[in-house]
Parts: sequence; structure tokens; C-alpha cells
Amino acid sequence: MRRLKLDPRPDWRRRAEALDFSFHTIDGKPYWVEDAAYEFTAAEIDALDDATVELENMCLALVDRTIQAGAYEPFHLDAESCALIEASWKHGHKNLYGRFDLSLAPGAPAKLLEYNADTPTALYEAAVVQWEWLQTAFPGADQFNSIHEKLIEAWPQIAAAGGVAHFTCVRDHAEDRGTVDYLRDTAIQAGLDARFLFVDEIGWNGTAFVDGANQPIATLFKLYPWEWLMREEFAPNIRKSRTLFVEPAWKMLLSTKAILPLLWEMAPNHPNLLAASFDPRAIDGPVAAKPMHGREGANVKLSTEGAAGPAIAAADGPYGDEPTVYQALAALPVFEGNHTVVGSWVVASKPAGIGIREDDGPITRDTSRFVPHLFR
Amino acid sequence: MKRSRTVRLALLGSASALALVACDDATDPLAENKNFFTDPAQCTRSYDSATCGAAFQQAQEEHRTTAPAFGSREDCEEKFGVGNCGWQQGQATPGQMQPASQPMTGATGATGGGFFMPMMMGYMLGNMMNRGAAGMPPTSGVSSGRTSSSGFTSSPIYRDTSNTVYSGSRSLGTTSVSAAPASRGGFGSTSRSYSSSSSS
Repeated sequence: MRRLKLDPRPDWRRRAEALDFSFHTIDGKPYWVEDAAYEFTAAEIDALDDATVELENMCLALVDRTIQAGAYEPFHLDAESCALIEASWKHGHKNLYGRFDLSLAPGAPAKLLEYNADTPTALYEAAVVQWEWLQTAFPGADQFNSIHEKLIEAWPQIAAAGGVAHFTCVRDHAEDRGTVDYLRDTAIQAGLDARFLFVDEIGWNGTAFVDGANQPIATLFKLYPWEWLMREEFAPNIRKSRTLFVEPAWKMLLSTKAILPLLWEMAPNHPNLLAASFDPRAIDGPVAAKPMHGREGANVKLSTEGAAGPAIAAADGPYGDEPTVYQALAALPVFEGNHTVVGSWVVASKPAGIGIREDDGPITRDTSRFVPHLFR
Repeated sequence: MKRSRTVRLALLGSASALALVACDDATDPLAENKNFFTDPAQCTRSYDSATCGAAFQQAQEEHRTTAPAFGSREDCEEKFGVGNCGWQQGQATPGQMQPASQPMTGATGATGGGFFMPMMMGYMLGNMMNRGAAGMPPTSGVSSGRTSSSGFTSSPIYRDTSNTVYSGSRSLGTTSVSAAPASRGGFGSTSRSYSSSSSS
């Protein structure tokens, strides 16, 4: 893996805008950058593909064994959430997508940092924007990215063509809205009548969730975390409703840092896993302390010599009161001062492609830059 | 090759044309109907606010002159349900007035300055809506494709207690779409308290 320095395409802004990629710059700072690209070898891409297959299989095995055993305690979920998890797994509710965040240090197998299993973003950049970039910047090269095609193929497993599906996210967030509109686009191409509404517009008529026209919502794609829904006024209605949620409720068992110690326990010393524990004293040496349901690096603290040791870096945020998971710190590879994370996408539980993000510091935040990649 | 062979976009990346769709012939005239809206705010999900506002006004005006009119609130509510009728100032057109079921007795009766009628539950945008289904007799008093300058038609919709929906004096069939006000806003409060991204 190496980092190439490039000249951005002179018309890159116009091209981004033609794709309706409005958040290429966030708060004045570059998010999508073309002055660099990562180049992988074919062997590295194959290894990433294999690692993603392994990790997804282990995660599905963890969900199954957790539900069979009723072993929900480490997840800190309420009884209602557990009931929804069980029902959605037993009824075979389909997952659409997820993104593993991996550290790929030189000469080492890819290591799982965390699994964004419920509300991953950076999707449009990975599926479309970097693909379009490749066509003009490196037309002869390949890219590990068939996300777009796989999304279109995945929808018929979730909702039959010709049917209505609703898509929802919060107000006033351009990136979330862009992600949802892109997923709506893929659903439309799969033959669905894909409609949008904001999360706070969802209604309840006594027997069904309904949209703004009081029409029942049969399938709801939500870019909104399950653990937030479950704290809100309509949570008790979910089990009364017939709405199919995407992602399904059983994803609550994966969209949490709790999987890190549990996977390690299930498969200790697996090459794609880092040592992890719920016990701060269990990890010696450099360690990352992460809140169980944190997002975008909030409240993550990195320390040397164990969790009580001196801090290397810390991020602030609103998740300070959450239970904490401790993971052996695998330093991210650094390229000219850029700390790099590989985001590996699964669509319908199959590897679909990767998107690379880099940051000036060791904790990846939501303003980390997205950088395209290629391989030959 | 590990990349998508083609990437095309259906929704993003191009200006979406204002494509008005005729009401389809499905038995339920409202379920999954993309052009039925309860109010202009709901309509602006799909169309621009000028179109939505003008269409709403047009539907209201047509409703006032074509929906059935009653001399008493009781007569109206008998057909349309308690709480679903409103008082309308002015004169009904001759074709609107429905026969009274009993002589008017007083307090809830019409005072002569107006009449009672079912409230509009929403409106439907379209091109062909008012040409009527095959075999249906032409009705008077129903807009037959009166078009606004934007090229759309707008039809007021109301319903009776048997879930039959109407526009003007014409029945459109029965619907499963609930007109009962749904409670709303039961999701979304956490995001407002965090005011940060839902994403990860």
C-alpha cells in the first residue's frame, strides 16, 4: 500500500457538483481530496476481501450464538430491544450493508478496529464518487469497489420491485440526507417506489407507522441509530407494527464496541482481531478506550502502558457516560503525517469494496478526509 | 475486475422533472398514491411550494362549490361522521344541497347564512383524474380538467364513514388510508439532544 501525490483534476468541483456530491467540503475544510490516492497491490486487495469475509462470518456467528443463548448482558440493551432482536433474527429480516473499519499496517494482516453495522456513512464517496474519479484519473486501473451494483442487487431481497419503501434521516444534516438520497437512488433502480420523510414526520395511527399522508410504512430504511429509536416515545410501537426496518433490529448486536471483546473471546488470537476486554486492567501496553456506542471517534482515549497510563490522544464528545471497551492499540499506518483507516463495505453480507479515510491524528473523526484508491 | 461495470444514477445528479402521474386504476384510490397530499407542507416533499399552495387553494375552492351541502350539522355528520363536518359561509349551489332528514329544530341548524359540508381531507394532483373511470356517468359540478397555468389539475378529496372517498360529487372507491390523525414526532428527539451526526 502506498500513497501517491497527485494533481487534482482541474474540474473536480464541477464534477462533484454534477454528482450532487454537496459535502465535498465540510465547514470550509476539504473532505473529498484528489491531491492524493492510495495504491494497493492485487494481493493486498485479495487479503482485504478475505479478511472482510472472515469478519462478517464471525459477526453473524456471534449474533446467532448470542440469541440462541440469550446472552445479552454484555450489550447493555433493554428487554424491549432484546425482544426485537430475537424476532428480527428468527424471521430472517435481511441486512443491507455495513462498514468494517480496519487498520492495515505494513506487512500485517488487517485488524478490526470496529464495525459500523447500523448507520455507516461515507457510502456515496466509496460507491460513486471514487468510481467516477477512477474513470478519468486512472482509466486503466482497477478499484475494489462494486458497491453500487451490489446495492441495486440487494434491494429485491428486502422489498419486492413495484412496492413502496420509505427512507428516513434527521433534518439539517447534508451528509446524512445525501447518503439516504443515494440509497433511495439505488432502490429506485431496483424497481422500488422509494419515498423520503424525516424521522420526526413518522406517525403512528394505533396499528401502523405512517408517513405524512397517513399511508402505512411497510419497509423503512433509517439512517438513525437503533439505540436512539429505542429511547424515544414510539419505541413500544415497533413490536406492534409490521414495518420491516433496515437495518434490522438484530444489527443492534453488532453496532456496538461490545463485539470487540466478545469476538476476541470467541476467536482469540485471530489474525484479523485485536485483543479486547471489558476490563481496563486486561490490556497491557498501548490501549484504546472506546465508549460502547460512540460514533465518529467521540470520547475515544488512547493511552500507553494500559488504560490508566498516560494519554496519547483523546477526543471529546457526548458519550462519556457509556460503558467502555478496551482494545489493544494498533497504531494506524502513517503516510506523510496522515493516519489511514480502511473502511471495508459489506452489502448483503458480502464484501463490496473499500473506502479510505485519513486524518492528521490517530483518532478518526467525521471530518477525516476521504481519499480515492486504485490497484493494478 | 473488482469495480462496478457501470454506475448510473436515477435520482441524484440530474434535475428531476416535475412529472405528474395520472391516478392509476388501483382499487384503493389513495394507498401508495404519490400525488395525494393532506396539506401543502406534505406536498412540498414532491413538488415546489408555489405549485403546492396554488393547488391546495384551487382544491379548497372547488370543494366549497361541489361537495354535498347540508342544512344541519347532524345530517352532515350522519353520513360523514362526528367531527368531520364544517360550517361554510355563503350559498351552496343548487346541485349541492342535500335533502334534510328532519325539519331543522334550532341550535345546530343552519341559520341561512351558510351550510354544513364534509371537511376536505386532502387533495390530489394529476392530469387525468377528473375524466372519470370508464362507465361512470359524467357528473355536473366536477372540474373536468380545469388546469392551472402550471399545467396541473387539483382535486379535493373527502371521505364518508364507510371509507369511501369522493371528489366533488364523484365517488372514487374505498380506501384503507386512515384519515384519523396519527400522532407524530415520536421518533427523532435523541438527535435533537445530541445535535450531532447519526452516522458512524
